[in-house]
Amino acid sequence: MNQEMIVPYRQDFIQEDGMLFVRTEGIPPTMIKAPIILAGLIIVTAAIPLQNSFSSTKTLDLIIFQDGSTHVFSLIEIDPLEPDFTVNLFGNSIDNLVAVGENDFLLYTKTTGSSTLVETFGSSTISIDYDTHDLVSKEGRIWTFSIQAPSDYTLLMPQNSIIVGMSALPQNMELINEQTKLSFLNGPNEINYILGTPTSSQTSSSTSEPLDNSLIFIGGAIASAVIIGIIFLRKFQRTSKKIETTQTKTESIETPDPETIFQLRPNLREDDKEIINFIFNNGGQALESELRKKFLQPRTTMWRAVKRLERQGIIEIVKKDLQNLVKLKGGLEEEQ
Amino acid sequence: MRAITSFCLLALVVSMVFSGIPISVEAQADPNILLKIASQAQKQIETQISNQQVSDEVQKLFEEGSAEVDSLKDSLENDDISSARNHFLSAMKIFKKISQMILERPTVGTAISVSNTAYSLSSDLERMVKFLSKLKTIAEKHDSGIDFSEIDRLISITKSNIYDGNFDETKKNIVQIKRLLSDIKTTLVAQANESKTARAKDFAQKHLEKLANLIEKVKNLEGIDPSQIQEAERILSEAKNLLSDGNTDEAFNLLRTLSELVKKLRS
Repeated sequence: MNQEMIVPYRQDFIQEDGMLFVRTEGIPPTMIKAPIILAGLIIVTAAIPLQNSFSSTKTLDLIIFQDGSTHVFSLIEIDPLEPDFTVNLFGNSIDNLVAVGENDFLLYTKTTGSSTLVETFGSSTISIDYDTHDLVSKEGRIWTFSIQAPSDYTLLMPQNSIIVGMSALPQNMELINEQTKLSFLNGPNEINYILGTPTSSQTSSSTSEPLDNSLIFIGGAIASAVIIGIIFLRKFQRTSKKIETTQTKTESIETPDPETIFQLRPNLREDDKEIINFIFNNGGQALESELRKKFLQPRTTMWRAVKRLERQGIIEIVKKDLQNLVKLKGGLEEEQ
Repeated sequence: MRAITSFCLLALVVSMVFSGIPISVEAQADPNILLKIASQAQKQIETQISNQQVSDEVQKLFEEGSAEVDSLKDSLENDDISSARNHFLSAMKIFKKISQMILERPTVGTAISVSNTAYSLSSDLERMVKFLSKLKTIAEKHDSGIDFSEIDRLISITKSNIYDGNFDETKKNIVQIKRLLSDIKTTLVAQANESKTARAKDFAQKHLEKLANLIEKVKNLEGIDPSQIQEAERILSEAKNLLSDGNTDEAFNLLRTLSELVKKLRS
């Protein structure tokens, strides 16, 4: 049983009264009935906004974090006569879901896929808070936020983000703690942005100003020192690699086997299990590009899968030669 | 009199029609926002392409994008909002294309690696702080007596660790915070369940009364199968008995079945 049930009741109720459609035929010749029609129309007019207000999203606020996850806050008006209400969520990968009724009363929820059933028990307003990992994807350095919004919404962009593409027209924009907050109307939208590191955003903000020659010289010297440092570090790592091989061998022994991982994480998806099996058979680590080739998955899909496994503490992502190296983590513990 | 009535009727009909139209008509965008966003994107792209060698195609696209920003500015000065919107969307489309062409190659590997880890960990922490804040509100509202000092202390330490670049320690802290959050939520859910039964019973009683009235209404309608009415009345009676016996879960199951049946009868 859900919210949709009550709507036909309301429509039927109006039809049963029959004031609109039965009596209007007799109105023009007999003006005596005009006040009755007027009263009926006033009631109907007043009722329309009320009907619209049932199970409608009153507020939708989204906050994008720097790792691409999104916090969703939604305030929904519902029919107080229904015992439960099904809320459609933005995606399947949901964390930290809390549904609260009037007076901040914690409501019981049961999430299945991309929807959650909330036991409302007479609440006329509920608020839902959750984090989703399915609204933002990443390709290269470009992050893309995509949404099909059921209502008007606000969107707080991450810090140091620079918008480089947008498919819908924003209604408002304001700056909150150095973060851009945008307002949009309901409907589809896609926003492309990049994240600048704190240093790069500072550079970009000062590019219009002429640079002092001494600053360029100092900057150049620092950059050269950093590059030389990196070269030395890499050479040192290469020479010390041989010594470390025995240590890495012991580390690989500590990596749990897939069966143990599946027992500790019983709710894993089948495709994620295949990824784990592949990494395990590959010596406990694999490049993300190798995973893409193996499973013929696009970059964003594999990125999401890898992030999902990272969130569950199964793998860790390490940068290696500008690529993502995915490693099985040791010491996996049972989920709380 | 006839004219006044007709006018009132017309006004009401018009208001009814317009009240059904989505509110989008009410909201008017501040057009200067479009110029701000497009200019920022233009500036960013300009910085990027000035720092690396780009193809003629990219250069040409950038010029096209810049021309769209100029046209956007002109349209806004002439109060031509419709044209401004088109120029904005065109400019953003071009800038997105350029970004895809020039930003594929990451710049400094180690810097990106460190910032990615920092972003990921600080985002984890931010999400948890937000979740904790919600749980605190619920707990305080209902005098749950939960002690938040340990988790507050851990969050403070984690913030310092992220600031100092101590990522290994931060990862451990985050696991601990996750556990504490999970415990707090479990406690709150358990507390909420204690009063849930009373609320559920109260709600079920009201809902059953409503359904009983609907059955009475449907009874007198033509073409209704009497056996279905009998079945509805049987379920209603059983649900009431279960409720008075304190078997709320079972009563709710019957309540749901009854709602479906009444809905079927009314259709």
